Amino acid sequence: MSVGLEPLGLFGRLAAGLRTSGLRTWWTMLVISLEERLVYRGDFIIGTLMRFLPIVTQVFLWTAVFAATSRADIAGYSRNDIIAYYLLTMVTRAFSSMPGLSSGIARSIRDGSVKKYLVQPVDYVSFLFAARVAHKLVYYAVAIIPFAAVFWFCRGYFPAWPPPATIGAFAASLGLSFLLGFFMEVTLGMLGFWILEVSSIVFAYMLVQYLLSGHMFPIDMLAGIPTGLPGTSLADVVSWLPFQFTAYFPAAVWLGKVQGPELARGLAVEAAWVVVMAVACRLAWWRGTRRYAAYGG
Amino acid sequence: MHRYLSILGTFARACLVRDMTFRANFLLECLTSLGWMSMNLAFYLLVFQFTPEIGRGTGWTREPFFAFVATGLVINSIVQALFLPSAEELTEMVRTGGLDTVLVKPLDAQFLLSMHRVDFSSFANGIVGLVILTVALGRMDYTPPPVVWLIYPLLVVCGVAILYSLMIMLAAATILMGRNQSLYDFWFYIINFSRYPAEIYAGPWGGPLRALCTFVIPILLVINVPARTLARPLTGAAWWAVAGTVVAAVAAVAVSRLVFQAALTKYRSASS
Amino acid sequence: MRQDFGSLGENHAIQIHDPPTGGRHAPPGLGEHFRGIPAAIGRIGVGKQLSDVAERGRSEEGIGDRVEEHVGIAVAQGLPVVGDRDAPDDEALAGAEAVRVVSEADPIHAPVFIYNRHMHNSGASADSSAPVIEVAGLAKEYRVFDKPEGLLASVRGLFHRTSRLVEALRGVDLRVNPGEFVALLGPNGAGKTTFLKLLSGIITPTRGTATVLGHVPWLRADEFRRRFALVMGQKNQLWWDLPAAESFRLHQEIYRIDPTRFARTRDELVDMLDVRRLVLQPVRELSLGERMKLELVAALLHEPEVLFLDEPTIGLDVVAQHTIHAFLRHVQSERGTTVILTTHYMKDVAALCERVVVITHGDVLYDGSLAEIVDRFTTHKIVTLDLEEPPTPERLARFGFPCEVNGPQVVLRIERQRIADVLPEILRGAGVRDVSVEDVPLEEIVAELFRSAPPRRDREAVLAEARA
Repeated sequence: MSVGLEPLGLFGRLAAGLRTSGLRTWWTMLVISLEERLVYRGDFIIGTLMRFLPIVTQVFLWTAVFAATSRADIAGYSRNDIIAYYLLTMVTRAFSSMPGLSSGIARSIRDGSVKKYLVQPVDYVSFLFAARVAHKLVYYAVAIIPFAAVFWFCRGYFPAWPPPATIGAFAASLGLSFLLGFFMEVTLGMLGFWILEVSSIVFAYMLVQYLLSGHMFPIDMLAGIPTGLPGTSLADVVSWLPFQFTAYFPAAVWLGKVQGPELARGLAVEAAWVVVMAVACRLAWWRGTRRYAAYGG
Repeated sequence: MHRYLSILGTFARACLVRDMTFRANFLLECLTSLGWMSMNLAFYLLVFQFTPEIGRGTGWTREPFFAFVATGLVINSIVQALFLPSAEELTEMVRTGGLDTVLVKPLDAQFLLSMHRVDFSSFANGIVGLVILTVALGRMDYTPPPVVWLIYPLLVVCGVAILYSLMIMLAAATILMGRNQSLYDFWFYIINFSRYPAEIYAGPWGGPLRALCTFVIPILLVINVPARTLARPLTGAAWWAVAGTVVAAVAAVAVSRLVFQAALTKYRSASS
Repeated sequence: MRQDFGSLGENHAIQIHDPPTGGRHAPPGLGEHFRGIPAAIGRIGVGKQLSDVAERGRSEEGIGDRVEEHVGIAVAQGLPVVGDRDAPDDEALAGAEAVRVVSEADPIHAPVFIYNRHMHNSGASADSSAPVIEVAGLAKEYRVFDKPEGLLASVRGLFHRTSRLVEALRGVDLRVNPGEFVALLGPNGAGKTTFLKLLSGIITPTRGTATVLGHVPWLRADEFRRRFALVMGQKNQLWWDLPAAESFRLHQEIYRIDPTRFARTRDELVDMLDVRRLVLQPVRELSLGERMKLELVAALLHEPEVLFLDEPTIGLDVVAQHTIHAFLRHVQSERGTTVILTTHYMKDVAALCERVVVITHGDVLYDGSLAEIVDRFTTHKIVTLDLEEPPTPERLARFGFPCEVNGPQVVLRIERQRIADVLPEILRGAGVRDVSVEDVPLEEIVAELFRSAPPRRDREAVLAEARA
């Protein structure tokens, strides 16, 4: 069994998986997700809007921070920039966050329901991928209204529209962040083949992500913090790690904080991490299922 | 009443026994809450790299601000240890009909529903908070007068009472609506507004928000008032704030109780 | 307010009676006798169980002693004892306020029936016969939102939701006396559990009144809640992670039970149900049957006067059901607890109570004894013939009644009035090896009762039709 070293081959397989496991099945998944969303209608509308509430507090906080200092910008961000930044990270996280993915996989490994994917001619990872795509599409379809409303309301904080190339790069980075988030969480979940309580690892992952993804503050702010190595700040180190792509990077692209060669490098690093995690996930599945089958499941 | 205290003791003891039985889990939970807290502290330290003060002329420089944060940790850890676990379970109880068994017991339902579970791991944050408080006070220029050591604990209790009342109101909403999954989310989203000094809410939008969160849903009183007694001299205005907080706490507990009792009479009970 | 043997009144007769074969009717003579007395509205019924168990019990030892014991008690209290099996002593019974019937064959397991002389609407009724539960016109309605089906409906559901009014209970009357064991029988969704929840104060009614032990249940007075207990099948009152012993202790604190009394009651109950070894295990490790028994112990720790049971035997195996039945019977007769039990199992009813309230679609369809159900609701009897050889079609045609043939066995349904005439005819034909005449099985009667009840018609639907 090939380990799927060629990313294109992998995506080809995913697409094939979508086609064979039935476009109709996928469509049904889509419809069911949509219905599910609409049933909890009260929860849903309020829930989506509530996600923006913490930003309100952040806005006030940063305004107060700027008020007390004479600087015009912090790490290259003006106050308006920071607000725009937070809003944009909401968009990125709408792409990269995979709620319940790793814990769901760990659980199905623990209770044995993963077995059916070992016997059936359906690729587990492709199946999960298709399911997530369906979920996300549905989520975007219904969340677009509150999101658009909030963004329109806050349009004053945003700088002018970036040039088309930047928008293109933004879109590319969003797509890559979806893939990256997906593969990272799947790989985490697959650790369940070896470790019983994956939750502790997931917790550690989420903590690191919280700090280094740019969720709380733009990574540029770490530029002033030295590490042991000469000439490198904490921000430089973080820029090689995959975490920043789940919140910070696309937002920074849109706001023009990352440009030219840096932008190209960032996209390349992001793509590289996607490949690495995709391979890791494939490996984990391959080795894990072998081990699983050896135990008699 | 003595009976209620003894029953509370039984609940606490039972929870402690259970936590000690699943020790690894308990430790993990302690680490989890300490982890999140550390991330936030790191963030605040980062912010103070760029500014000397939160808000111009507010007095919330680094040490007072950390005293503020520490106060928040203490108060929230008390609420999260004593009351929140039971509130979380309330949604489940309403859904499965477990609330029925509570209503037939000759014991105050609100008491049972808000205090039957204690989460000892949440105290970890509070302990760290006390440590931070000590350090911050040590480094601060200003030394609070001795009377503050009497007022501060009282205000902490008032803060806990106000948060408790808010929780009871949300619980009443859960009972009325039959199933409210976002009850728990509501809690953290609302509490989020009280995490920072009230002075940050300024301007055309901030002003009304600050008023709303001070006089209508008094969450801004919870951490601000006790923290300010540590960081600022006790002027006349400060005493008014203290008195106002005590009144608000009493009123909040009373109002929330009324609402809760009303919700119980309208209880629908899950289908058989 | 306890109901001891002696407090039923000065004139309390005991009759030791051997259950008649086919035992679905009252011991001959007794029924007529009591019915004959104008003021008596005795609820008389003998469960099917009695005859079944009597068969089994005949071989048990020590039964004679039990009977002796009952007689001894009666004699010691100076009560008249009627030992005759078939004919009640008119004189003794004439003055009796109550009659207690014990099966000689199996006095331990067979139901013990207390026949009271029921003072109907009499203000002079003694305190002990004041109704424990009085319900008038109790009704409960609530609004339910319709769940949308399909995608289009879901979208529409975002903006506008339809709802309908559900009438869970539609004006129910009931009166229960102290010490009675009443079954609320009905199919799922009939309103039995709603009724129980109203009586225990969990929900408030839309209309109507009810008093239990003199209190209005939904006011949830602490005084009231201390005097009754509620046990719901499949729902847990005990702490999940802890041993039952901890839950018991908590109960003691909550109900303010005196420590010595608590210890005694607890030990008694635990031994009765034989769960002593389970009491120290965490509840989540136990099986459903074991948990149920512990729930019952917990419920009775504070010696409630009224016990509400909501489908207590659901999901339990036969042995556990039997144990619980015996336990409940014992508790009710020894402590005089009033028991209201909801169930949709005939087994529970037959084993436990003489009074059945059938509820369907939120209405009380029938309130009386099991035996009366048979009398009132069946027109036929079932005649089973064992023939020497399978009947020929002509023979079958000659029977002329709806029948079922299993080889040499023929089952006929014959109207009651015609049996006396028809049976000799049938038997005269040659080749009948055995014949038996039985009532339609109780399960069938009750199932038919459920089916034949008028379909539920929500008030709104009725109004809508009226308006149309």
